[in-house]
Amino acid sequence: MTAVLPAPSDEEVAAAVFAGHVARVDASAQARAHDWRLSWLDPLHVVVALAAIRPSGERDGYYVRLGAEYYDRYPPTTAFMCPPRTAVGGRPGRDGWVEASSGSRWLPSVNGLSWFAIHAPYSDFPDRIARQLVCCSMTFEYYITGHTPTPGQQWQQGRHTLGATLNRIQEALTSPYYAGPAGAVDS
Amino acid sequence: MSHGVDVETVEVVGDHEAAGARDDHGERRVVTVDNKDSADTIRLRVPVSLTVQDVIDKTYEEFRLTRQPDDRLTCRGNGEDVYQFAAHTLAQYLDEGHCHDLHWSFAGDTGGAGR
Repeated sequence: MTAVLPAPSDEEVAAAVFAGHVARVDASAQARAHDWRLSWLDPLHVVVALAAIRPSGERDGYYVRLGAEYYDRYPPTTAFMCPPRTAVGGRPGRDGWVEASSGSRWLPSVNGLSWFAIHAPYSDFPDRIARQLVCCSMTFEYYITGHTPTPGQQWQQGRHTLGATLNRIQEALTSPYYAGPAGAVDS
Repeated sequence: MSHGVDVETVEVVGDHEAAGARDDHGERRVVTVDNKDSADTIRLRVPVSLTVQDVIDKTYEEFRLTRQPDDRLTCRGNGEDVYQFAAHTLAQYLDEGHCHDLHWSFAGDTGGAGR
């Protein structure tokens, strides 16, 4: 069952709350411990660089875009992104950030956790446009794709910040269920 | 059960205090708690004569939360549940070899792929 898309937050209010939470998370001991690197894209979006660790110990870098379109009545919009790149040889450049697609080197593969998954592509969005879903109750997209969290699992305004989203992603990407990038394609 | 008077003797300290740090006489230890729901971290200097429940109460008070049935409070190093030792004093908790660096992780429940 697909949920109805809620009304976006007031942009000015959302940007102010988001900026406060980004500053709080960026300055936190947990950000330092995990080496999260937060970069602003615009007043409603940041990209966070973080590291995943395979069971073998090998590390992989990823970029997560967090958005404040519905913040903080809902969690941040969340997607794994491909970074900009320069053109080399016959390979075209990429001017901005684009959402990582199925089989991408920039999309992690995590299978077997009950509380976290990454689906690409996922088609059960209200607009029926298939795209990536970071499936966890600390992402906005979880609430518009027919999931039914218990009261204790739901995002709570005032209790949760985007730090909850990053911590769940970090925990999944350092768990034994992380299997490396979904593929080798740079797109 | 609330231990209001005892919790008063738990001090919040700055981030220069290392997790597990002890004072000169070993009578007080620093407990560090990472709130995984907000990315905040608190450090509490606690007399070892107080119970783990006292530390839990102070943790909820500092994070301005009420306990939910599926909350998790675990030792960061070994993942061991902390709530089960609520009745132990901090001295007993340490003597029995639980979480020697006293660095805990707190988080509420999370829904995901299966729900």
